[in-house]
Amino acid sequence: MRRVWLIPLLAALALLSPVQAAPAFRGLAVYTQYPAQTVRAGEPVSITLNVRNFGLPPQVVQLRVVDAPRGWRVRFLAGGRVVQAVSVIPDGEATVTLRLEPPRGVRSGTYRFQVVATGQNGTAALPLQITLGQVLPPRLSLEAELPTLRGPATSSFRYRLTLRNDSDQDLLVQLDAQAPRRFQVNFSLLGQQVTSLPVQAGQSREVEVEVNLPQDTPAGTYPITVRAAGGGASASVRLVAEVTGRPELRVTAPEGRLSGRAYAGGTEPLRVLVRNEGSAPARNVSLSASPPSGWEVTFEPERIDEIPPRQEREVTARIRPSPRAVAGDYMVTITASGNEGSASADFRITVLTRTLWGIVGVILIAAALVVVGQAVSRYGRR
Amino acid sequence: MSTEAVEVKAEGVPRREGSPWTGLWAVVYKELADHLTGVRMQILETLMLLTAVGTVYAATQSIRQSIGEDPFLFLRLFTTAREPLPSFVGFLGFLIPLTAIALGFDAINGEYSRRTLSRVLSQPIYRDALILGKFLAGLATLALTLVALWVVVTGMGLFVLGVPPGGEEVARGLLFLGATLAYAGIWMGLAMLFSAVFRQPATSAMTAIAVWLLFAVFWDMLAALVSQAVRPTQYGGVEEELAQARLHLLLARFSPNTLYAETVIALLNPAVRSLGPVLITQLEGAVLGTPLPLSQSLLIAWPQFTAPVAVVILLFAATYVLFQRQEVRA
Repeated sequence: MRRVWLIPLLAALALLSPVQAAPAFRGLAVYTQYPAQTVRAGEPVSITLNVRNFGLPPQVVQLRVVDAPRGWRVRFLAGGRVVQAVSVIPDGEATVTLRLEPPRGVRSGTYRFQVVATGQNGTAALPLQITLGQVLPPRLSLEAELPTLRGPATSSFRYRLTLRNDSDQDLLVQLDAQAPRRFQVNFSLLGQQVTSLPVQAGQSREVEVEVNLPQDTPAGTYPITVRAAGGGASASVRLVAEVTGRPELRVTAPEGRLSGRAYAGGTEPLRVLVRNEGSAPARNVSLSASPPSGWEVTFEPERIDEIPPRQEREVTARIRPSPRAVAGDYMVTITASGNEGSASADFRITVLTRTLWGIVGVILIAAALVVVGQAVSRYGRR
Repeated sequence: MSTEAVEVKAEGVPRREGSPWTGLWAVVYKELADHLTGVRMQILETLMLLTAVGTVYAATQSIRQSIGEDPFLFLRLFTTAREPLPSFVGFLGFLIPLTAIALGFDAINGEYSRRTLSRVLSQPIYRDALILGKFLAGLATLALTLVALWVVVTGMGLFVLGVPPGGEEVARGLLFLGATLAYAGIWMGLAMLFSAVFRQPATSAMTAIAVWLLFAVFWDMLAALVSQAVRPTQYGGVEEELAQARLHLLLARFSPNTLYAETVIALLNPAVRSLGPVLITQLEGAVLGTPLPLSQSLLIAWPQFTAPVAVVILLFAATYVLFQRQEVRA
């Protein structure tokens, strides 16, 4: 028996629940999302109003503001003009902007307004509350996605910053950076280089910072402070560039003269400079050469233990061209290779041949002259 | 023994005193005047001048068209050929022997046939001075002609190319002039030798021309033939080919034409590094096309440069000995 009357109760509950989710409200409604606002003193206030018809026949709704404080100018705007009434269809909605212009010299404080919408078969009211004077101070925030980057001095460091305007007004934000001397800092937005940019109230923008270092920057950690300022507010972020060092060898010669002379079969010294143009010491630098076949090239010393950054060491290369080398210019490549990387330079060696054979020609002519002299002394004066 | 022999000879022939070269300059000036005013030389000089102007003009046209930047532009004036003309050097190669032979082929037998020799020798002039004077006058005529040609070529180059020659170009040009003079001296010395050997000027002229033809046309063929016969390439190896090329070059170098051509190549083309066969291993790492310094170019061609000079002196010595031993009063 108990069971029998429990089932209709459950059925009644099941029938009731959808009716509760959509209550059958009929009539007019006028509403706005933020009925109580705080604004800056002296500025006009715009409030978006919605007028909705719930289940009534189509009708014209008169709008007016009752109970406005003294001196305030009140207007309804829609479609770019001043309106007095809106027309709404059943379950339709109309949107108007209520513009409140405070009188000159208005004092700060709270002002109350009452908006009344009057239709043919219904009325709706909306109380509004405007507080003047107590607004948020302008505030900026600047954040870096990756504030510390690491790389060689030859590459550029790119940081991505997020600049947020946490205030209720649009700001023109000026960007600048404090970096070590000879560092170049550029700001870019959407691929364009900028020095200042507008940020709308409550919005944020992505700014890219590119830092270019002098190539001879020694290894180390360098701080860069980026500052954003505008509208009395400022924010800064500290970025760090960690420069990694790298030895960079270069083979050259005193005064840049990459040429020399040598006699075929004779040994000739050639001064070679090995320079480290990188930012870290070069270790275990050994020298080698790729001369033409039959040539001999030795170095003194053959190995350099260490070359500090931006320093050079002199090496003497002893070049001995092949005894059968034909006179003229030859290319000899001298290579310096360290633990990290190597460098080479082409030296132009002019091979000369000995003048010994030239004397033979002179002797030949002298012998011919002796023959003439003999002939003259033998058969002369006839 | 030897002193006795000399004394006997001294007693047999009346001993003459003084320098054997007395009156040398008088002979030189007279011969030079004869050469320079003679129709024979004037025709040849006109011919050489015309060929020089023609070939160098053609060369400048071709240089202006093809070569923009060359550190040795003036040297190209001598060596650039433009169809159908050969280069200036090519023309010189066969005009100079002709001129030199024309200067020398009747130097001595001409005097016999004109019966002027005894009249000259009745003057207080030794035969030494006569023969040396004739030789020097011939060389001086050749030198004058060549210098004039050289100046014409350089002047035309200045006029047409509009750039002055560099110091090394001038030095190479002058050395080229010297080599050409030595080459001309060989042919003149040969012609004078034949003029002392043969009594008829026509015979000596024909013989000299025959020798020139032998060296100009046939010598290279003979050298190739002999080198192929002596060093045949049976197995086609590099060694065999090298040996054959070396023998061919050695034989060819007996010809003054080969020596002159090699000297000219080394002097006028500074990029030439060697005149003999070069192994490819010797050129490994070489920067080709770069000019050699003048001293090195000269060193390469030094044997080819000095040998003709020595040959000229020896030819003179032979002519001298022959002339001194001849009977002149016939």
